[in-house]
Amino acid sequence: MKKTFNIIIALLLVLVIQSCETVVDLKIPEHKQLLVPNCFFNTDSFMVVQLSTSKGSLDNNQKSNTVNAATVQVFENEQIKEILQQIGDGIYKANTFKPKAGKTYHLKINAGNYDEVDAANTIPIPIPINNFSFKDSAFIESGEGGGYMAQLTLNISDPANEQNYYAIQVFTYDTMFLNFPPGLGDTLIIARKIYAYSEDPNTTYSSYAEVMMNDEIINGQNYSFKINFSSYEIMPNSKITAVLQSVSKEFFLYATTLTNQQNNQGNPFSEPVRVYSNINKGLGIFAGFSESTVIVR
Amino acid sequence: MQNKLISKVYYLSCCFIFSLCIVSKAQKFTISGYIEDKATGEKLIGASIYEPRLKIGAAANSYGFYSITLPADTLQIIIRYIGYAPQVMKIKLSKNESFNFKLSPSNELKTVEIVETRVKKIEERSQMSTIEIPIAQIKSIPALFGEVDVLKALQLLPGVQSGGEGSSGFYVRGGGPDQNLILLDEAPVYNASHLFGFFSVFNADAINNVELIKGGFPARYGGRLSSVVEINMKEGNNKELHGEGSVGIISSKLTLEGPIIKDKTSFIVSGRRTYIDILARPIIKAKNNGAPAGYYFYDLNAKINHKISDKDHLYLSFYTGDDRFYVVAKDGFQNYEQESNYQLGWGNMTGCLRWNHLFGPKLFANTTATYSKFKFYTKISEKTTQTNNGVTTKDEFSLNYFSGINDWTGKVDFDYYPVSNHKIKFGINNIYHTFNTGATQYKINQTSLTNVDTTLGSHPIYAHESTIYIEDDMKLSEKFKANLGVHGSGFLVKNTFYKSVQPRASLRYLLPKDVALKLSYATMAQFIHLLSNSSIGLPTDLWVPSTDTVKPEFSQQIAIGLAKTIKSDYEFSVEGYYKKMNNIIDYIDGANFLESNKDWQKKVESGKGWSYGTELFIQKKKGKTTGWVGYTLSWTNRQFENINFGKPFPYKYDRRHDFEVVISHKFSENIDFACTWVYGTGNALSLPIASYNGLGYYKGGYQNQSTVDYYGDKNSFRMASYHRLDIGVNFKKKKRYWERVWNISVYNVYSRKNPYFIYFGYDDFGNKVAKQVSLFPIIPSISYSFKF
Repeated sequence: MKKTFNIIIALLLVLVIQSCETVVDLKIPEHKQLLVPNCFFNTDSFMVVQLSTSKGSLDNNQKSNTVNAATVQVFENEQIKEILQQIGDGIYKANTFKPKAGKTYHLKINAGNYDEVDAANTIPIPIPINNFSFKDSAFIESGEGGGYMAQLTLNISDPANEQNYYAIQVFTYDTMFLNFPPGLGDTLIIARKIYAYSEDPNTTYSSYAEVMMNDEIINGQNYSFKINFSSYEIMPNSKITAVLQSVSKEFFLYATTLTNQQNNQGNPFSEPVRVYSNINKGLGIFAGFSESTVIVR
Repeated sequence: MQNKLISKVYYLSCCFIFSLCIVSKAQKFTISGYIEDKATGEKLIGASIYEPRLKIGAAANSYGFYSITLPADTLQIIIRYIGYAPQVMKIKLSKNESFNFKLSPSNELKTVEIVETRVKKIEERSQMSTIEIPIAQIKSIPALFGEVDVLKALQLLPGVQSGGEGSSGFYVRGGGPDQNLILLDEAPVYNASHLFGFFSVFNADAINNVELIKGGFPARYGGRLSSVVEINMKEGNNKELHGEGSVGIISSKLTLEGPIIKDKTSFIVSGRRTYIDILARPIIKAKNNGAPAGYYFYDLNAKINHKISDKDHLYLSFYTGDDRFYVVAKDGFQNYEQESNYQLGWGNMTGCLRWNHLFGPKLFANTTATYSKFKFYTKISEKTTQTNNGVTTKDEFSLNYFSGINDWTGKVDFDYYPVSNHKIKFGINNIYHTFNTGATQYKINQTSLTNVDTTLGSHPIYAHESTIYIEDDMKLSEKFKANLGVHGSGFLVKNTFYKSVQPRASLRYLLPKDVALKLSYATMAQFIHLLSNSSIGLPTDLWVPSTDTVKPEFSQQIAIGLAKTIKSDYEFSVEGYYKKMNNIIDYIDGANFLESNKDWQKKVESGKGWSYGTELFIQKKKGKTTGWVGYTLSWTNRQFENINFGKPFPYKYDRRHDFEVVISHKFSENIDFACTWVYGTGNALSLPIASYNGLGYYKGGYQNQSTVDYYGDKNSFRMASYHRLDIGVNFKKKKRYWERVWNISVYNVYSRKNPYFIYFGYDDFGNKVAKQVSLFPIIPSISYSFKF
């Protein structure tokens, strides 16, 4: 379906582009570059912030827009926790603490002549997976024609008194052989995220996780996510884990709007999509999430 | 004794005078009947009938019926209609009379002027914000690819904007393209464009007249916020068989009309089809592996008109039209063959049965039943044939996505003319809507597996829209006229009921020097909405009903203006208006129609809009040179809570200045010339002002997935202004039994590169620049028409 639509757009664009294309002198207001910190943080890892700047649409400067030698401060519940150390080009990492669920973290960054930016976010309490079940091969009547898929069911209880947002990722572990023929100690296990989607119309697809959802419909109730993926994605008998992330509202808005904008790129006739940002006086995202993992097999 | 006599005489004379008064007051009679073209029998809609001494007049209604009540006296009545020689009739009225007037077309080069008794039409009418364009004038306007277009002609009027280059969607006084009620012989037409809006579905050869109402809506109209376009089809010559046709670059058309029973029953059939796909087929097949591809559209109009008796008339009209895009792809190699068939199409069908009945000279009734359907569909089918080890398997897969709207309507309308100062219209109607908001049907036939045939997506939604109205067009004094009315409507969908009572008022006061001051107020309600995905007229537009979460749209409009006929030929009007719209809907950021598994109600947002401006219009309808000049200065804004952070923003089609000149000139009997020049300030659009890194993340490390575009305020940029000159020349030659016309026209004479859309790209040196794509350069075209 999308294919046909794209064919039509392509045909129309061919008709259109073959006509006149001229360069116009468009008055774009001078863009004052803003700091763009990007950080997803959770309880398992040290915070890593990638820092860069925005670039005006007609800016022809070729040099990289990463920002080095910036002061990146993190506060926990209003108290300074750490000044992040730069470990790479535009990358700053915390060393001394891992964030905890339920606490509010503030980010404050100063660099060069740019406006100081700050943001705040909390890691939501992790939502446990009550139980799960896995069908190796089940017939699914789906939007893509129907076929045999592997299906994973994850059951959760959504807390009633808060707004919850979920993201689900499924990983499989491939065994890589370093030598041929393989000998002892010659293998490496690598985690790989697989394309796992849901038929439920209440879920949202994002390029970050194929299954994302808010709790509007299921607030306070038990709910089972039914995640489908092709059996071709997994090696027989390989390990599969499923991760249920409880993400903050800002995380959810950012992931869905970013995907929205990516989907509409290249289509000059669609309405522009505004990507969400919670950075004051800047752009980017500072958002927390927590995880519950189950080993499926 | 003398006193008694005097008082008796006095008493008797009083009685006599009193009774005289009563008798003379009661001595009024009604003349009624039809006004038609003498040669063809076509009814002359809006023809005027006027008694100049008493200054009493009336106009023929949409069926050519008139009714005028005059005192018993010797009267001189004048019947006039644009393009026809007026008729004068002397009558001594002593009872109700029934007359059918038959007018003959006037010879433009020898116009007979009756200056003193001319009816100054524009000042006479209390209705304002209304423009009527004679069909002859529409046909003379030079057009894109030589295709005369009724809706494109409307876009040349002040207060009406076209969407973009080539598009035939129109925006009236800041309203959206779904806020126009387009009626073809009283049946609503939902999608009036072919080929993404480059052409409209109306074949000008089948049309009698076109009227556009932008404000001050009389009570009989409702259901859309911004405009009413009433298009009446011709009825068909009821005396002789005639036809006309034309062969053009893009399409050809043929119209046939004539009597079935002379003077009683007539028909008209008109068809149009493009044939560029047939002509290009060999070339396309060669480039596409032997498989055809192409695009075509067609229109078919048909009408039968039957006069049952002097009191009863029956009309049956029908329209169908379709656009179709098709691509066949063939692929194959040893033991494997695949044929794919893609089709994209959309179309309307309308049917209408009407019965006019005269309940006496003062009451005219019209009962109508109509059916209207709009459908958009995408069909993909794939057939794969494989041979493996001697076993042949065939797989067939088809997917059919469709959406659309069907209406069944029943109406009864009355025109009541009780006394000469009042013309009352009242009526009742009901529309039964069926909304198909997007369903997908899958069929799989596989030799190896079980077959599948399912339909997913939304179920049809049913709704009833009912209306009752009453209006009175009255003359309160020599100088003061008013049309007051009330329109009541209700909408029932699932278990939700919406109702609305809409007062309508139009007033006219005649100032000195015959300048009319007009004032109008109208509220309108719209219970159905159009979800329009993109700015090109793609038929992915979806009609949806109001529901319990998506409320009906409302508008209020006031307008004030002055009108005058200058030098008896030029109709001049200037109007200012202010319009407020509530509950208008728009897609939320990035939503699109393709996510058919998502409830459309969750993809839209309600907001408000307001528009105000001034329109100036000068029109000349008679003489060797005809045409008009229009200018509009307007502002249109929108505001939605979740779009543009809740701040008001200019509507995409907010055009500050809009100016047009249309001129037709007849050099001689055989040569006439027309040109149009339009100018408009550019459309508003949103462009990214900066870009930055976006973050994608999954277990195992960060990944910068993309570059994010950062937009400032919505619609804060303007494209360059739009202007264009078109010219056309007709060379006529009258032969014995027929007439032929060669038409040569040029679209965009000075090849102005008008902006179609803008994006950011790179120039030849690798610098980032803004690029503008234009669509149509200078396009000459030629067509050949004939008439017999």
